[in-house]
Amino acid sequence: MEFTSIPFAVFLFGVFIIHWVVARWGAWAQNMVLLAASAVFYGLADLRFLGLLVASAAITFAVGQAQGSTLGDRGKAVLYWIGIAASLGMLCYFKYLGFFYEGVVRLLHGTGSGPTEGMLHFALPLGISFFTFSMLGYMIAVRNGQMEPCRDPLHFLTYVLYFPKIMAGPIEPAQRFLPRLTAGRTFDTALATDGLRRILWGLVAKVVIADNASGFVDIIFRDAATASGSTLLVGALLYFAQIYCDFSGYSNIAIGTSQLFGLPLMTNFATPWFATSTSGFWRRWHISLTTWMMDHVFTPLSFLLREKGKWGTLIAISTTFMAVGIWHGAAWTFVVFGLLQSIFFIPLALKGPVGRASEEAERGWWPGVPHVSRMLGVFLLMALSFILLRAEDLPQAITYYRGLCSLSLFSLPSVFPTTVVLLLAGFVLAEWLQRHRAHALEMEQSRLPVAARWGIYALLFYLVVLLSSSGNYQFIYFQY
Amino acid sequence: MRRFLQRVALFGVLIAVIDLPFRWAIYQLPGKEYDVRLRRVLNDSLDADIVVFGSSRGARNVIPERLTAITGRSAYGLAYPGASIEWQEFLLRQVLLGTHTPRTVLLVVDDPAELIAMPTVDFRLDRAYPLVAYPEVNAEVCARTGRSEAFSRILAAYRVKDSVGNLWSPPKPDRYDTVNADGSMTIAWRAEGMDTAHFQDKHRAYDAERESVTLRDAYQRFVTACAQHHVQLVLVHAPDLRRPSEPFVARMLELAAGHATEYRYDTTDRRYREARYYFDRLHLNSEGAGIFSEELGHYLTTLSPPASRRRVP
Repeated sequence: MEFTSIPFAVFLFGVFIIHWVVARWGAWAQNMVLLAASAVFYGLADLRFLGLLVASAAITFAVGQAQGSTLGDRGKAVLYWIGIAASLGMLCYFKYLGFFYEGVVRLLHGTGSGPTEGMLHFALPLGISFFTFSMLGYMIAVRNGQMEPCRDPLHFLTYVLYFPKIMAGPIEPAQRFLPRLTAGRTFDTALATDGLRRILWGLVAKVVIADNASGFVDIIFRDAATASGSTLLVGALLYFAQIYCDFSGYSNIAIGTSQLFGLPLMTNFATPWFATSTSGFWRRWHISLTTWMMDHVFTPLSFLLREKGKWGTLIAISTTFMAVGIWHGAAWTFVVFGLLQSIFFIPLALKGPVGRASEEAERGWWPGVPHVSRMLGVFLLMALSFILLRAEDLPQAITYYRGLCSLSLFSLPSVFPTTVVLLLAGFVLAEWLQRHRAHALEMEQSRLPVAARWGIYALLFYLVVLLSSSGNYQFIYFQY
Repeated sequence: MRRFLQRVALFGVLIAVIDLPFRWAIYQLPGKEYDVRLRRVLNDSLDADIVVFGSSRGARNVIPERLTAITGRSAYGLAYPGASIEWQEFLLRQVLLGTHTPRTVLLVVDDPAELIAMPTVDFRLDRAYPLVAYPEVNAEVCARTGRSEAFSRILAAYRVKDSVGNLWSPPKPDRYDTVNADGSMTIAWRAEGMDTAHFQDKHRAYDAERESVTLRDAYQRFVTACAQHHVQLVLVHAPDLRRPSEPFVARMLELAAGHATEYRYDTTDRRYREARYYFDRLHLNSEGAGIFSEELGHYLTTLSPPASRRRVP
């Protein structure tokens, strides 16, 4: 049941009504509705792993309980590490074992590449990277005393299984989400209305732009070996647009959906295309993942390596970005992607603290030339590095980069989707105008008259209806 | 919450009002089509005794008017260039839903690619989109594109989104797409490079392993539908500057399981070896199509068709 499908809309409407009808019986009843709906949602997507997910949540819950019990420190530590190992072990087993096995086999055979017949291939539980990180975050937060362990297993299971975020996040910190879940919720018209607006904007990004760009991206990447440099550049920029619109679209739908239940989730994107530095980009891109990595990888490592000065910072940055890269999947392209991002960071780290000073967005309607040139520079750098996320393997990525560096870069591209580019221009303009708000359709404080606002909503609604492309376009991040 | 639901309902009303022009468009779009064949079928106004199905080989190589002249039975062409057997099966279903069931169906097969997925042959969604006013077409379009049929009934814009542009820019037939009154799409000239084309008299192999399950299933549904409606099915192998592929002919008959007869062009007729009767290597021009249609017509007179046309009340 895709977020962009009609069955999901019907499902959501049904759950929404029941959720608020049972509100008179308190948060527990509401959460049971959400839990049942989430189990149905996940079960319909992948029934095979529902049991695994519940078992994993049970272990995490037990670890949390143990941390709040009268058990001795040593016992708590042992159970904590068992919980961490179980979660990471599950993730490694499903996501990385095949990759490592393949690497070992190839090493033994002395071949860098070759047939992969007989290699280990596992079906990947949907959303495994997202729910594993949520559970790891919970165990760490409880262990560090940042929150009390959750006392109700059903509430905890609702947090883990919660259908708006189970497939692709945001990776919501338990200490933020669980207290809201357990507290009584009353209907907030403003929050729910904003949720609908957010869903609409998410649909525009996903259905109107990402899905329509997808066909062109597929063609260009498929023909990467023969395409001209300029066509490859169009492909790279288009893919960067596709992945942003796809994932930010998904995130907006997820957050908007959750707002309908009175449970706002953390923002996952904050107009990353307008970042003027790579550090700024990563503060605005997939925020829930980068926050998690910052809290649980970068900060502890920096602390550990604090005596090594800048070298320590460099090691911490490299390790964090390698983790970000590998989080996306088990392939060399992701490893190189992480490495590349850390290299982008090195000049910043050497210059001074990786702070936010350089990331001061201009307040004016139109930015100055230096600001625009910095934005374009970061945009281009990131678009080129994201080729690694789209390439099927490292040789394809190398072929792509080689083609980009050819003289044909200065020829006319053979593929140029004018309609998609025009739509994208409108999308970017809307994001720019609304860049200081949570999303482009946040209009609560707007000076626009109601009729104009409703006109915009209706126009966007019809854009989604008329420009949705035929075919089943899954969200890109579901594969991670 | 009531206020919220009221706002949502009001927005729904706004959407419904904006949808009214699209609802009007649904019923205007079929009239903008230059190819009226499918509409004729859907309106149940096709009353032909012999119906020709196929892709471009059916459309270019067979002239139903000639068949009528020779057999004395009304004939009509429902072959679409670039149409896969899935499209033809869909068309046949619509024909059989009508009150005028044909007695003979000629399926002009693509030798040897009829059951092999090719990028140039597909379900002709472009011909179906403007006719979504017809529920059976809309259902087929929804099934094939993964759209929600229920939503397409609620929102007309969703239903016509792929063809609404035809309202102000109706498609015009080019010289390849002109549909004759008998439903054929013959071409009077020769393509470039045909001066050097020669007949290839070698035997060709056929690899059933390459067959697409989807296309094979559609073909078998086509055969079964004919059998169930007591329609005589003839698999026609039209000339194409090559000798028919014997394994392919045998395979098509094998899959038809006795419910079809086969007709292959007269390979001893030297005219089929001359490039001047061809538009390109795979298609006859109208002169060649005339020769072949006469030959086919004479063959049809030798067949004993089902006793009477079944008329569904």
